[in-house]
Amino acid sequence: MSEFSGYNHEELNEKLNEFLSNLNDTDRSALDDKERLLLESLHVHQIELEMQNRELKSSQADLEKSRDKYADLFDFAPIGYASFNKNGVIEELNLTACKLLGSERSIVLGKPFSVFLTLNDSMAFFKHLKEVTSSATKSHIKLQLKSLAGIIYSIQIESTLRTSDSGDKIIQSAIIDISDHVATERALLENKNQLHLIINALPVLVTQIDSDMQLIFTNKAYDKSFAENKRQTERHLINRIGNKNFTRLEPYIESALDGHEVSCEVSLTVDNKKTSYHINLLPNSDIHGVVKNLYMIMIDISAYKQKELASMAHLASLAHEARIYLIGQMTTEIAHEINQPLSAIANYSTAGIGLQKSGKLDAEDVTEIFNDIDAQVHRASDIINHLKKFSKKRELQLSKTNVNTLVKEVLKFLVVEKPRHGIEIQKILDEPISLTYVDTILIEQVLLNVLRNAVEALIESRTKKPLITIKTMSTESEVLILVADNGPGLSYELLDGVFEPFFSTKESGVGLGLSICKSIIESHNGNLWATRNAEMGTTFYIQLPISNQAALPIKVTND
Amino acid sequence: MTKKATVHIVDDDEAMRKSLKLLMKSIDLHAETYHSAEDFLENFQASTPSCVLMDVRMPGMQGLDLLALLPTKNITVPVVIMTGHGDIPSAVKAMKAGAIDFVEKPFNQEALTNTIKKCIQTSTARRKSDTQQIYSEKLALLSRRENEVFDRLVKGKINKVIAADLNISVRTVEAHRANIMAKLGVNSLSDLVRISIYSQIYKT
Repeated sequence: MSEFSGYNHEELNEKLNEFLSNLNDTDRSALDDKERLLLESLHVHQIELEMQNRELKSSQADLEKSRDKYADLFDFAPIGYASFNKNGVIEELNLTACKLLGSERSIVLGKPFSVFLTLNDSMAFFKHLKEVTSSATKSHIKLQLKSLAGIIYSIQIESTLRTSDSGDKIIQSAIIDISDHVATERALLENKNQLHLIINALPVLVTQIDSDMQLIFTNKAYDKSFAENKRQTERHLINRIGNKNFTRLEPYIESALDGHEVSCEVSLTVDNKKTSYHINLLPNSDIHGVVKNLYMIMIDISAYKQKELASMAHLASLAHEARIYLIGQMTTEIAHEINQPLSAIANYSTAGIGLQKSGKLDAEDVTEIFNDIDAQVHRASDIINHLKKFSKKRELQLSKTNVNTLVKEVLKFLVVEKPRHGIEIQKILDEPISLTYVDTILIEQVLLNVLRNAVEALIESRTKKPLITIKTMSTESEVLILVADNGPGLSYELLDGVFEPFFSTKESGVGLGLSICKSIIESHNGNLWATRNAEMGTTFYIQLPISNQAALPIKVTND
Repeated sequence: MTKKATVHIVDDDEAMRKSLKLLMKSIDLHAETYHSAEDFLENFQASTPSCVLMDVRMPGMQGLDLLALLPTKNITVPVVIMTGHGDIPSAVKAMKAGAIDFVEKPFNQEALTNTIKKCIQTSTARRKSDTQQIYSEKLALLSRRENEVFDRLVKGKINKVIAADLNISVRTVEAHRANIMAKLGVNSLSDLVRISIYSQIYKT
């Protein structure tokens, strides 16, 4: 402690200047002043040293502060840091690393890191150390770490080599806790595995195809279905399913690659067998909306198709029986309808003979009589032909049809019923009307059935001024035919019941007519229902879709 | 006989009207045609000798309704009804409603012209009593079994049904039927019906 230690920096400076000026002022020639001069010089040195000392102290404080700051940064870094010697003994570590190891620095320091690892991981860790030491390159490894607190962490160690002042090789490592990451990865993998398990267990065929027609993924059902010719290992779609099948799929695949979701029914040849598939194609796009690949999901619907065909055949046969029954009930009317032209023909010919005998027949009359006879012959044969067509057993067949034509045909048939009972029939036909794919005979059958029902309701109820209105309408998607009567009307309970099999309000009725009609309309993907109308009578609605022919269960013929 | 007799044809079927008119022309009769019962009521002009040939089924007012309406309109012209083949119930109704006779379509041309000519020539009242007399005498000739078969025939029952009804064979029915036709001197079912109707109507 010098006599100046109590001085502050300014006071020291002042003292120093004072001594220096004293030194200069001194008469250097005076010998007795020699001793005093030395003393003063020493004073100056002392002050300078004190000042230097102070500067050093301040620098030291700064350095210590800085060191502490870096020590803090080291200790509180979010990832663990540790230094190992070449045998894996912990020489240094930060607090984060301590926390991972589950203990205090003082306990952990000097311990081999391998005590926190399984045997397998220990070996891997030593290999890692060796690699870093020998190659002096940066290296990393993933390990399982069991802390002293018993917690298992997944860690990644990234290490570099450093040589200490003493020339020892030190491995400096960052220890990163990747437990969350690993858990997420594991969960993802598990999900993926589960998804694969499910997709493989599915009875539907699932495959992922890229834009070059390479199969990215196929499930078991797909592999099983297209296993022909040991093609299971073939990863190109065209080679896998064959050119012919591919040609049938191509337009749909192209549409899906354009970014459209596609749903279609396609018939493919698998194992030399025709198989019907319902196929959904789902484009798989990246974030920019570019289709990278697509999923093709195929369901074998052959059995369903077969059943559908069988039920169609059954419906055709039921409908035929119902028509025969209907015709049977109309025998009197039909006979009358054929009788009319026949009677007229008989009249013409008898009259012709009579006139000819009495010489009153001129050439003009002859032409007219024969023309009249001809017209009546056609009238009769039209009815018979229609009857023949109507009573024939036949497969269902769809053709593009104007329902107004069907309405007119049926009214011709019904013409006999109305005059006998004074029933007026009003036609309100939408012209032009959208065409729809229907089986003409079946729809005529439904119309006839519904119309006869209306006629019978009017006759039985002895309705005054009996009126049947038949109306057609069409929108973009459907055609609607309304048959309304002004009869007594069905009660609300009966409105639904009339479509049940064996339902009849008539003593003689079998009660199958309307239930078959409903089946017929439903087989056209349409609807048949009844409501009470404003005149308190009943209105039947026949709704038929204007759908594309492929959606319909019945096959289309172009006759 | 200088004045031509007129046949008034009421039928909704155009071909029927036209062909019947021509047929009347061929047997030297004048014909007026009407397309409905309403048309007839509106346009009918009484003249003698004349008769009406009317279809039983027509839109609007029915043939039977018109028949019932005629006396109230003081129209006394004799009416012949045209019915469908085998439509016996309609024929019976028409006769009971006052028709003088009926013909079935398609017509037996000879029967039709005869019926119409007779209808025009004969005074209705006399004709009725005459026929009744003749038919009653003839019906008395039938045996009990033949009577039973006759009753069923005129109700429009077919041979098979009659056989089942009476518990006899179809062949026996056919034999009875032939006998009945011979005894009554007729050759068609419609004649049988006619006899039955006359005998029933005028018995009471």
